Amino acid sequence: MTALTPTCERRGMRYFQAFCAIYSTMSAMPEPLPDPVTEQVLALVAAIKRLPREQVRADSSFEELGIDSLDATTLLFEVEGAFDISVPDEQARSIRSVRQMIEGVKALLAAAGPR
Amino acid sequence: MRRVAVTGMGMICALGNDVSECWSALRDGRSAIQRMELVDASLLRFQNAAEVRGFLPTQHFAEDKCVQLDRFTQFALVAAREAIRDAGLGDALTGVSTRRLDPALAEQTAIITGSCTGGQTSEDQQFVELYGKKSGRVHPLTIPRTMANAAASHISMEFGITGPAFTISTACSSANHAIGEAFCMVRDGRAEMAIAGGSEAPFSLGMLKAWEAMRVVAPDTCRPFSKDRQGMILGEGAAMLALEPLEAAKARGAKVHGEIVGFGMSSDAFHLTRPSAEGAARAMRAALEDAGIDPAAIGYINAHGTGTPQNDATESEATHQVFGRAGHLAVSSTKSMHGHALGAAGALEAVATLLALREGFLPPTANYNTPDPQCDLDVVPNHGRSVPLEYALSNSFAFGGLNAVLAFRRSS
Repeated sequence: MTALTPTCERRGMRYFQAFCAIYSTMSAMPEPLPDPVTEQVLALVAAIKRLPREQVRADSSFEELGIDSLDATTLLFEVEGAFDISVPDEQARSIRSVRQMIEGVKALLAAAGPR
Repeated sequence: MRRVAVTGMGMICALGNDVSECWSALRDGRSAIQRMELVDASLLRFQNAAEVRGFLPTQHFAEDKCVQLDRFTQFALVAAREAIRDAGLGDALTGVSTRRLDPALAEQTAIITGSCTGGQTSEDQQFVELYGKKSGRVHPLTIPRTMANAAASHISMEFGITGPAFTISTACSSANHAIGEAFCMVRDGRAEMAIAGGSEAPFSLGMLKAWEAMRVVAPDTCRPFSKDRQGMILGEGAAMLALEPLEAAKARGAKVHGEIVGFGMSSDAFHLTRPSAEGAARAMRAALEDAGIDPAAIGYINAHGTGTPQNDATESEATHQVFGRAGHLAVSSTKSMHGHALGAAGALEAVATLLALREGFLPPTANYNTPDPQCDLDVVPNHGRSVPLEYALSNSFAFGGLNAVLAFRRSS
């Protein structure tokens, strides 16, 4: 197919794809630029659920992302390893959204003090 | 089809080293859950467990034999000896000598054991040597100690039992599947006698770390069906039953503790760790159908009742699906006292259920604090109760959604 497509059309397609990429970044703009902790938690969630990173937002609930109880314990395991923290079971049970996870991590990091 | 009698029972768990000690604790609602000693609790997020205390292997086995036996096999042998002696079949004198079964009967006797983790503790010890201490080698008995069928094999060798013998591993349903299959073999005439049950000894740091990561173990104690329940408490031990046709038991003048009358199985096809009310309900219905009895005939259910928020709510819902909201049904979880012994759980609970029927006394759900609207059942809270009973069920629901339910009848 490629060989039969005129050069100008192929170039046009590339411009269109580049435009789409920029547009999709712009549409995600309302979310403030994430801090490093948020960024890392979002990346872990995306990795565990095999989702494109841009589909995972801080205001996503676990339910929206299809994270069940077993996924949630796996996520906690990865988060504990990434930030060198230990999330108590009681706190773990109350975490049902990405934002609660991020806030939980930040609170534990603050409690641990500078390292 | 033949009626199947239970003529022998053996049990060792945190509640005691034989059936009589265990029943005394179950009757009184005494929980054996306390701070664990077998593993350094300071390395874990949970500190409590239901461990077998004061168990000295050399009191039961010659020293050279001990080397061959993982703790889960030691428990299985102790329980099998008690069951066979109780059935009046062997002369299993603790740690000394054992009389083998009559060869004609031995050939027609089946052994079916259940275990979830097998000899994992032995494996864990050797892996500490290998990975931790860089020993570069492990003990040559690691494989024969670790294999999940070690319990069945050692029972077979000790008593000269030469019939069909195998092991079932379906996580927390292992023992119920084992006893259920043995029941079917005796009922159908595929065996004239069966030794069946389960054994477990899961207390190694590696195994406990794995449970910790699942976040299902309670930080305090096991409070099944109570609103403030926070999870399960791990236990260990073994229980074995001797099964034979009721007519044969009567003919040889054996005492009959009770009958197994039905066995129901199902799989959830739903989720690896989340229970399903429909799957549990189908297993209970299957056991009732197999026994040919109406739900209304059941007076007591020894629940799976792990004490996790999800299990107890789901099991309650399943119970309502099968039994409606009839007031006569009592449901208790003895895991509140002997902990969750995983692949041995169904066997410990089979003994508890048989004794409840025989004695007309319901063991309670211990550690119960607050009613939960999601667990709207008569859970026999904290105090046992005298009730004449005819039929009872014992539920086991495993991770992976594999369910096994046994139906029992009081000896007539």
